[in-house]
Amino acid sequence: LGSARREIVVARTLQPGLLAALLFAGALAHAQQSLVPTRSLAFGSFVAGTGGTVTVSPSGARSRSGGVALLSSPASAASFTFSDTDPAKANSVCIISLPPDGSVALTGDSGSMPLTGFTSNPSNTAVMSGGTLQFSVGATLNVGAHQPSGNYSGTVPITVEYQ
Amino acid sequence: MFVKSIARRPLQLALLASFAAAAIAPSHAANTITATSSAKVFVPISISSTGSLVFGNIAAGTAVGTVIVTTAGTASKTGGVTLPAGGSPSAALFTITGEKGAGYTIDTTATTDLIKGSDSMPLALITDFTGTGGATTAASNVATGTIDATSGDQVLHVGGILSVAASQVPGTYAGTVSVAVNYQ
Repeated sequence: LGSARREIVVARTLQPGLLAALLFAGALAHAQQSLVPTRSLAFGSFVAGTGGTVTVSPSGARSRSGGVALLSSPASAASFTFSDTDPAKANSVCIISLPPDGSVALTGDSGSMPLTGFTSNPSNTAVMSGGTLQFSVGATLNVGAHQPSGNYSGTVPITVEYQ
Repeated sequence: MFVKSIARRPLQLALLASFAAAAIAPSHAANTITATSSAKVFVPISISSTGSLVFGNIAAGTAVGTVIVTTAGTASKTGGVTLPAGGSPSAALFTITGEKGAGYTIDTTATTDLIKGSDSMPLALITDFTGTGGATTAASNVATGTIDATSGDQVLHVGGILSVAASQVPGTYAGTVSVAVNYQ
């Protein structure tokens, strides 16, 4: 009886220390890295015509091919900020992973348009500067012949990891 | 004492394990995020003619004159011209269809004079969206329009100012009223 009671006492005194360690670990993992989108990938407005492509470069320049007619409208490349508060990672090499062709599409009420040719600037292997990496992502939107009119939207998954 | 030391060891191991997880996990973790992407496909803009610009019957005089057909289709004259009865003057109508609420430009520069063989009468246009016909000059012509947000179209009314020379050669004169529209 006497030994069982002592065991409980010991366990109780050590528990707060363990709890603090777990909380610290959680806070550390959370504060170290962040990947934040700072601008969305916008292809603007256009008329589909006989179909073609609309390309937005990582610098945000918009171009077209085929029967697509671009209309005056805001277009932009997506941009992201990856940062790490760990001083040891200040100048680390990162790998930016972009979606493979056709894995992402913009969808509307009565149709969809696949995205291909994702490119980033800097390109897929980039070096952090002072613990921060800013990069932009462009892509090509594939527009069908007489693509149904309307608003289209989608999400583009981007992954950053250390080499 | 014996009991105490056994109790401590497993807890210490747990403590180390939690630190190890904190130190390793972030450096190998992949950070994935999704960016939103958007595009807007416009309804193609189109224009169709649903009525002709008609000046009706004109009698040229010994002095120059003009015949004006307002956007309401009412004919009037200035100078040495007279307007005999008949000929049913009317304004031209164009229906522009496109993206609801979209703005567009109107270009009428390809419009031609009215001609009959080697003879011609210069034509200038009067345009509005109301067809109320108040204007008798091109001064308040519309250069841009907006597709109606409900109906998806807009009607352009086109009248004209025809310059008639003194003793203009008689005959039937015809030309083309040309309207081009483009999204802004």
